[in-house]
Amino acid sequence: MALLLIVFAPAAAAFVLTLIPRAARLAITVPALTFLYLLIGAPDGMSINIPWVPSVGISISFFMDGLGLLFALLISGIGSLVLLYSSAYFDEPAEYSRFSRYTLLFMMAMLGIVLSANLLLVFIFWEITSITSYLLIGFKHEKEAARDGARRALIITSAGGLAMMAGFLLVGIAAGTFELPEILGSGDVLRESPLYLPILGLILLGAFSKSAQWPLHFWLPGAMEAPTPASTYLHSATMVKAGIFLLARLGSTLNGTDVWFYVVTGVGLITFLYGGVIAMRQTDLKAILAYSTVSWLGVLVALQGTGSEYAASALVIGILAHALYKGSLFLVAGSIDHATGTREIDKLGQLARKMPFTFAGAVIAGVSMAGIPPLLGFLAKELLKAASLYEGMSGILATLFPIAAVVGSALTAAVALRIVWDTFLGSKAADTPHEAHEAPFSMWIGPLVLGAGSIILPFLLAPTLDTLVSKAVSAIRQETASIHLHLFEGINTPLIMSTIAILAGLGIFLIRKPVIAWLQARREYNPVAVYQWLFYDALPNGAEWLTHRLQSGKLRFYMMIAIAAFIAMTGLTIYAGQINLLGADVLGALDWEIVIVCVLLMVGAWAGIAAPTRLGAIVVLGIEGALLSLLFALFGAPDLAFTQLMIEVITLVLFVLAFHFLPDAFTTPIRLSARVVDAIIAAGAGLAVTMLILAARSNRIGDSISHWFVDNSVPIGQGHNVVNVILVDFRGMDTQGEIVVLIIAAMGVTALLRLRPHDQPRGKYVAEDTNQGGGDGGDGGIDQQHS
Amino acid sequence: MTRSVFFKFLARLMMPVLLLFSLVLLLRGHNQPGGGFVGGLVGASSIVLMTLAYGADDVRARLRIDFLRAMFYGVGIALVAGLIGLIFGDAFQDAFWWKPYIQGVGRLEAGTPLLFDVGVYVVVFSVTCSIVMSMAEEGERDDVG
Repeated sequence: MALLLIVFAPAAAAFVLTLIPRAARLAITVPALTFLYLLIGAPDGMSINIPWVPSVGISISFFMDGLGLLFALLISGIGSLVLLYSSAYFDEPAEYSRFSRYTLLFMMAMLGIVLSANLLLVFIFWEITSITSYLLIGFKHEKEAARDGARRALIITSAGGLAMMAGFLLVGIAAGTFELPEILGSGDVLRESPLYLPILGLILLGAFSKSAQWPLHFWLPGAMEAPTPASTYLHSATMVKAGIFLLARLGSTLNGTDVWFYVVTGVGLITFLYGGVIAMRQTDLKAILAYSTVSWLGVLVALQGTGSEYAASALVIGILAHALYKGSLFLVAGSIDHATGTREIDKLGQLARKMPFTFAGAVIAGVSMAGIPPLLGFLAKELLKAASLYEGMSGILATLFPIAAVVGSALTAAVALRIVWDTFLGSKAADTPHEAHEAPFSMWIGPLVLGAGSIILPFLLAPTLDTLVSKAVSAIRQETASIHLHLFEGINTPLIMSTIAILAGLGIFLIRKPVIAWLQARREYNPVAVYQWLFYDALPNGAEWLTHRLQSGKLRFYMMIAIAAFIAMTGLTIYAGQINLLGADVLGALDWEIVIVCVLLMVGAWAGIAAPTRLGAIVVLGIEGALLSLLFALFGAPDLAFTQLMIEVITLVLFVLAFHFLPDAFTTPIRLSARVVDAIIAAGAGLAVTMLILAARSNRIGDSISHWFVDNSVPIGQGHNVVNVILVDFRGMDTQGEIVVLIIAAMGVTALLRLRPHDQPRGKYVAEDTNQGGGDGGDGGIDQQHS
Repeated sequence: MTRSVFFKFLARLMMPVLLLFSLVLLLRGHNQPGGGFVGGLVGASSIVLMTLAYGADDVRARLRIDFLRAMFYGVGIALVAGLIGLIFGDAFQDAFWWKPYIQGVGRLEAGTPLLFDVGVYVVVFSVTCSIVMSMAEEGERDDVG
């Protein structure tokens, strides 16, 4: 129960906020209480399982292990600070309320991902994070950049999510269940399954897209259009770590193979270095933070390549340290933007005195990010280096990993120094749109609380962190682990590597001006161009081309395709199934009256083809309809006959009204080739229908149900007209659906007719319509047919 | 478009007859040929006749029925008929009948299937009128322009 409450309370709060928008300030209590409960009161091993769609193995099941606990703490803790922060960040109460609602929904989805015990449930929550993230990035939806960024994030992450779902389904096939606790025990089954490679590829695609790994990272900088509290929450602390979470969750069942090691470590390290380099050349504070986040996400992925215990501890501390310092820096960036009106680092400087509390938060975060002892960031970097020296690795990556760890850490340190120094200190004063001033309490308290975490946690290793890390590492590796971390382990290789990294970072920072200038002069090899081409050129143009090919706007063409498809499918089915057509005596029941009507119908069909004018053709069609209803009447179906007759009358009127728009005579002759095609299709349609009727008569499967209707019409339906009893009672649901279809058709007709501008003369309209080859094209299409 | 006086006269004569006939069809449909669907068509044909005789604008001005709105009422009536079964009976569209004997008139037969049929009648009637009158208006506008 507690788990259900933890996951769904934010959604309930969001619902309450839609009813009472002014209650937004109270929303923070939900994540805050969750955080406290998880920190103090949550018992170990909670789980709940409610069947949802048992036939396909979907259940609403949640469980909490060390990994889930770690993430749930981050989600609820940072969520509380972000909601508090945004109460001052948004000037409009309505905006604050809307933001809170989206954020709470996102929080629900995120908690759902990390606590779900069913893979398909994970997928559902995963997609909800994509959608809520879309809403949050596009929060300032009147800005085009925000809309673009939101769309980009949605396309990339939800495409990844779909790949991931396919991967999950394969896991379900291979493991025979979607329940995570059972899957976690069947790692060997998965690794030996022939589906292993597809599973791995699809799940990695999902994880890499969500966690912004190169080359799918580019949506993350685009997502910086979101309000800064959202960036803090989604794009540094929680959502982008969902991919990391997924790898950690499933790592124990999938890792241990060469493919896993090379792909995961390789992609992670490329992202680590790429992000660090690109972060250096940015000038927008949030863009710098975004790329440095990409960089650190790379580390968190690379660490999962080996599956060693060192790497798992480094991962846990890395997630924690990054959430604390990067969350803090994002909030600081938001405060600076809020106070000065700009985020361009070149325009900022010497803000320390004007924004002392914000500065304090920034310094702590920056020091932690640079990996300077004794903050939590230092511990994370130490563990990273220790993990990079793990002996179990082989091949070229075993050499490259430690080097990349040092280089990447140096870049991180340089970026951290640059952020803090160039905004708050530096030699030149700020040149900003607004005069800088300290942010309100609710905005500077967040960075300070997070900073306090970075400072205090390393000194409370034994009582607090060791337990959490041990639990999380046990969950990641599926082996009971007992981790004892030490801030200082004596002079060893990791410490030397860390020292080199910090000094190198300081060096890069000191010569940053030429370095940045050099980097900015280089071309950025950004895959966003591919994305732009794909989704803004190739896809729309391709769709347009295809639409023009298929949607000619000519009703005649559509009918031709539909009828031809009908002929082909009927013929193929009868041919391939070798269906007997002559099994029944179909001609036995023929009356001479029926024969006469049928002959008349055939003569009428010919007359319709031969009619010289449109009006003549319409009249002939009307007569055909009347003959058809006569046929129904002869077969003893008065209801059908009557309805058919009425339909004919109304159709005739409609024809006459539409006829008004068309030239009277078929003035221009139709090409012979077109006539031949028409004749073939017409003959084929007749043949196909005939075969269908013969096949239906000759192959009765089971008894007819019409007797049941006839027998039960009076006792159950209380009516003597069987047809009507069927329509309004026995099959009433069908009728209900049909009248809705009728309404949709009527609305469609109205909309199409009103599409035409009222003041536009008819001739011009038709001309334009024909040129475009689209639209309702009633006139243009039929005219063209004869030209 | 000039319209013949005789046609106008005929349309006015036929309209009440057709409307009445359509109601008869609707009410007797459960036991004899008829029903909501064909009733709605016959009812609509009276309006169609008037439209052809007098023009859509004239008919619309006199009728003052928003057909686009009316068809939703029709679906609403049909839904209510089904919901009665859901609420008071076992399932959606569970039928209920009420057949009191009225002295000198005969047995009245009313029930939720009839109510449902009324909904069908309203939908078919307004959908047909809506489509035909939109088309007719389109033609009239061209005459002016």
